[in-house]
Amino acid sequence: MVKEGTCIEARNVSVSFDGVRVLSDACVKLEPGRVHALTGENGAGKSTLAKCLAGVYQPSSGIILLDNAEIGFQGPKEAIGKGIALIHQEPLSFRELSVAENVFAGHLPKKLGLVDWKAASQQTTALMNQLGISLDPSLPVAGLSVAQQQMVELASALSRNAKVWIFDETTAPLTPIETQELFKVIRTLKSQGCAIGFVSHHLDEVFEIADEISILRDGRLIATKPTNDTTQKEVISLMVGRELLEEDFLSHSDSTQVSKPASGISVSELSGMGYKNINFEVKYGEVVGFVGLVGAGRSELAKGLFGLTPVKQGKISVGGQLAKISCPQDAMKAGLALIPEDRQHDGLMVDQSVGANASLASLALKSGIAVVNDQKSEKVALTIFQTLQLKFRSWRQPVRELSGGNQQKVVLAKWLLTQSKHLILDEPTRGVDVGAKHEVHKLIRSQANHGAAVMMITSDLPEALTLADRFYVMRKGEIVAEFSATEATQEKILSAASGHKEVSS
Amino acid sequence: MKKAWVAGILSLVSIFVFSRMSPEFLDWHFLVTNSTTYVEVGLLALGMTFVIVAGQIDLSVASLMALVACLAALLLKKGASIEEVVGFALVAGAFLGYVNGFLVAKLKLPSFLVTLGTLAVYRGMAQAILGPRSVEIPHQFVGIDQVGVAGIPDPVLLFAILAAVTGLLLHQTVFGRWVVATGSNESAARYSGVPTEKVKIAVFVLTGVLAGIGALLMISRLGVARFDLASGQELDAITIVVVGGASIMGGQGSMLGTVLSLCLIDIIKTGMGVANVKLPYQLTVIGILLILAVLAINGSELLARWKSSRTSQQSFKSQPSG
Amino acid sequence: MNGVRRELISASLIVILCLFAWIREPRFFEPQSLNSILLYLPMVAIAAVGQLPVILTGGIDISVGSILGFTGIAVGLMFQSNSHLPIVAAFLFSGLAGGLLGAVNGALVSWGRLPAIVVTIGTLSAFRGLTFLLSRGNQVDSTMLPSSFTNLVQQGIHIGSVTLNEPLLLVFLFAFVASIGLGYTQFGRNVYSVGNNIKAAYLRGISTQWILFSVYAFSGFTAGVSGAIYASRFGFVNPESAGKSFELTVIAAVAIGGVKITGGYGSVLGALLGCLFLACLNVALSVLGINANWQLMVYGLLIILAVLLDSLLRMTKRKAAV
Repeated sequence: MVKEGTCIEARNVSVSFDGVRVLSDACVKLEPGRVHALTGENGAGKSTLAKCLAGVYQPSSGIILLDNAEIGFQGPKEAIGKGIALIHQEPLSFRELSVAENVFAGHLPKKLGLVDWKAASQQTTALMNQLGISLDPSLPVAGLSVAQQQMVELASALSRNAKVWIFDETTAPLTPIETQELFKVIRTLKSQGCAIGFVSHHLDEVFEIADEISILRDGRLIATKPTNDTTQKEVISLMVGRELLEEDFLSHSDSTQVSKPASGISVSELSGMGYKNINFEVKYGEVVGFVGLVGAGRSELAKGLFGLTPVKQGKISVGGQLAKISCPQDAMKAGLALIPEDRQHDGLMVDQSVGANASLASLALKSGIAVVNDQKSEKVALTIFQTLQLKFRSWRQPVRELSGGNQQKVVLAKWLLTQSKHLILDEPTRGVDVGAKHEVHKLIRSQANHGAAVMMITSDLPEALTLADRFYVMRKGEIVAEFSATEATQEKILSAASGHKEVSS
Repeated sequence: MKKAWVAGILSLVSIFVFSRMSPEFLDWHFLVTNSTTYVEVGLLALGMTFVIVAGQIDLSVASLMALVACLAALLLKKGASIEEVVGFALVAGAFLGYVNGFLVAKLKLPSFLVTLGTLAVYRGMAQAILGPRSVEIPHQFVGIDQVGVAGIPDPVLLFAILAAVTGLLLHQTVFGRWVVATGSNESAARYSGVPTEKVKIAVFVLTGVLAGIGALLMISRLGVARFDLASGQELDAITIVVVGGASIMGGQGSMLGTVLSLCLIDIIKTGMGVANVKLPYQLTVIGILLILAVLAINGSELLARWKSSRTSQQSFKSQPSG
Repeated sequence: MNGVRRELISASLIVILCLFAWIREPRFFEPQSLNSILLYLPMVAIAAVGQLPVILTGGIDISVGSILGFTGIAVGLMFQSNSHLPIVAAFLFSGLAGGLLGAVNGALVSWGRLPAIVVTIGTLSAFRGLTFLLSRGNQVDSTMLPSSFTNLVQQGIHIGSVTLNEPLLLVFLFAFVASIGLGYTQFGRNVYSVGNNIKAAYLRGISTQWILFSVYAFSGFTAGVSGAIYASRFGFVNPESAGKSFELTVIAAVAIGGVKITGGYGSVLGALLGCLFLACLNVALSVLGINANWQLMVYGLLIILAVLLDSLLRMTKRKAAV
């Protein structure tokens, strides 16, 4: 292959935050026309390394080389100027501004020194066509889906003629179909000779798209391997530093099937904001997967059940009793718990301590003038932290210092402390690394085995298939199909979710 | 909590400096009697601590206090008993605070603009009722600052009690945790079952009640009520709370810090008064103090950032908003 | 684009207000009232055009009133030392002096990374003290100002008995420059980007600190120009009262003009319409013979109403979008 593109290399790069070394002596090289995956558990340093390449972080030692010449980026501005694009997990949108302006933020086309809005709009349309989507350039970005916002970011990088593209967990918020759309774009970029970095811990994706895989663990580069010469199993063992035993992979247990007659959560003819005519039942001891595309109304249903959005009509019963829910407190009194989809925004107070976060939901059920007993709640919480294997320094440590997986465990602990027997989990393992993911799965299963009714919303189909006893598939705000674990397959669920063809079950 | 001590240390430093300038300054009795003037703004600051920790702001407090003061003065003049007037001031303060809270929590309007509006409305009502005239307070109600227990004037005692009660409320009760949670991440608080709307209303009501108490102390101390009482004291109250280590972005702050910071400002203003520094220059000093204190409070974070300024990870943690 | 509708609302509010005033009192449409409105406008409008970019970035500048007072005094002292100073130079000087003070705010907010509201509450006091230092406590009066300067407001383009006074021309100049600047330059669009998502702006290679610094310096500059207009319009500048509470008027005008107080959304036209609304309101209140004592209250009520209306509009828009 003719190497006419740009290549970028990190050599012996180390990064420290507040004296804590998060990356040490890492080396990686992105070459033109190749997709190079950076993988590892959360906190392994893969995103930090990617951000060094894109000038967001400056290494405390080591060097970055662009086309084999050393270069010192002072900030993202210089990196962008050199044709390096970093696509983030959360799209960097300016919500009140138009699509065109988001695409050209910082480098709007100008005529006589003034912004040429007409050209901006035309060029945006052209870039969108190049990406194979149509989007009105004058629309405000606030109304777009996450996937569309990412396309706007891609268009922005295209408009700068980026030669090096680094995707930092870009697929995390995307559905499988949207991920495939993104891969199409990545393959086109690759064929045009761009150098591509792909940060992800989804090994299916990594093995699908990457030419080489670099594995990081605890801030160190463990190995770089050509994709063809390795296996998922090998990569996993390199990521976690040990071989995952077979029993770590959980499967649904049918043994308890007989002894769970009572219905935990049951809903009839429920309609509300973003969902309608919903009927379902989750029995005690059962994990029920709610699957579907993003925007199918699953999270909206969860919010309705939990009193976050008003329910228009229908009945919700919890533990066999009719529940009247108009706010989260009502839901909690009825015995429900909700682990929200967006952990940073809805799940945690990141600046507050582990303790403040973990005890919050239990406090909500008390009277306002009750006196807080921190020692007691700490004691109770510690036992739960232990079962969750939460890695933290102290009760007073701010949550923002924890890794994604540990943050999610704090959210789980918060709800386990309320001793709720009816759990609604919305994407419980999003942004959680492989090792912690298994722990979360084990926990969900053990909650069910201890008699909880678990409603699990997930976009991670393999996860749903390993964990759930039963499935409801949602599309456009309605439940369109129900499968038992034995009859469910990825294909059946996907076709029901996307409505491509009728499912004969 | 550590942030609260910045104000404490500064207080000690300024006592030392001023005692060098004037020996009067080490006279405990002088300091305590002098501080009756700061009790009213201190009460506003106690309420403001809740408001700011809950992630809101209340610019209307001083106007609210003036309105209650004027209404209470008129009632007194009409011959109402002291019990009636005290009851009225508490209810009126709570109601006016509730109006703020209702607009902010139920109608979801930004507190900055709502209370900017009620700042004008409340003082405007006082002005509409009284006009430019002043109302004299019947003598039996005047002079609460002249009586006291063991040499400590009643207003100071009352303030100490209220500071202790509100401190316990903020730091030791479930309600206090709700306030912190609401200010830290309102959405996460709501998802965890915290009644965020009620919390927001409650902090404004509490502030109103404290301002109502302040109004009574003020007219009793001054012996007269006018619509322009306590003009501009909302900014003083905010200054005290912020110097006391509370984050204007919400979720952080302590009652101890607020009290220490009130002491600091009391000492500095008294000290400058003793040293014959003119009022406008006192203003300058307080303004600069505010900025320096905030720099000092965030100092450790800033220093860390400068050290690792090459790794600008946390650059956006403390960006301004509204 | 979709902002046009929002400005139409502000405009129709003005029309409704004027019609109401006219029905109650036909004298409202006489040239005299119009002249009063035009006289009121420049000082507020120019400072509002400066406040707009600050609010667009998600910040706030509370110190504008103190900057106005400072520059008003500075202009007076300039004329005192040289009465032949060209008037244009006086305005420029006043603006630059204000810009310098604004730059202090800007530096603290951008490089000091302090919350804007805390910084500008601090400098509100600090600059007021500086004003005293500069004036030594003395007032600037008309004997110190040349008549060519104090006559500015009477001069201008006469259309019948309506006078487009000269400071009004400055408003047009500032409005034009700011409209082009915010709507059609990279810098201006970066201001919007910063207000929408400062982290994203930084990661897209926009120099966020420079933007933050500049908007406060510009706000100071416009407040400085307003200071010169103040001196010219009233013929005297009191170091204590000049520009007191001016920040509230300016912020209220911007908010009434539909500018989002949390940043990212708003236009120069909106801010100007907000000023026009306040000007009409002021004149209407006096023409209708509403007791001066009632004006502050009406004023506050209208601020709350405008904010309420704005949020209702946003809600319906959001519902329409879903």
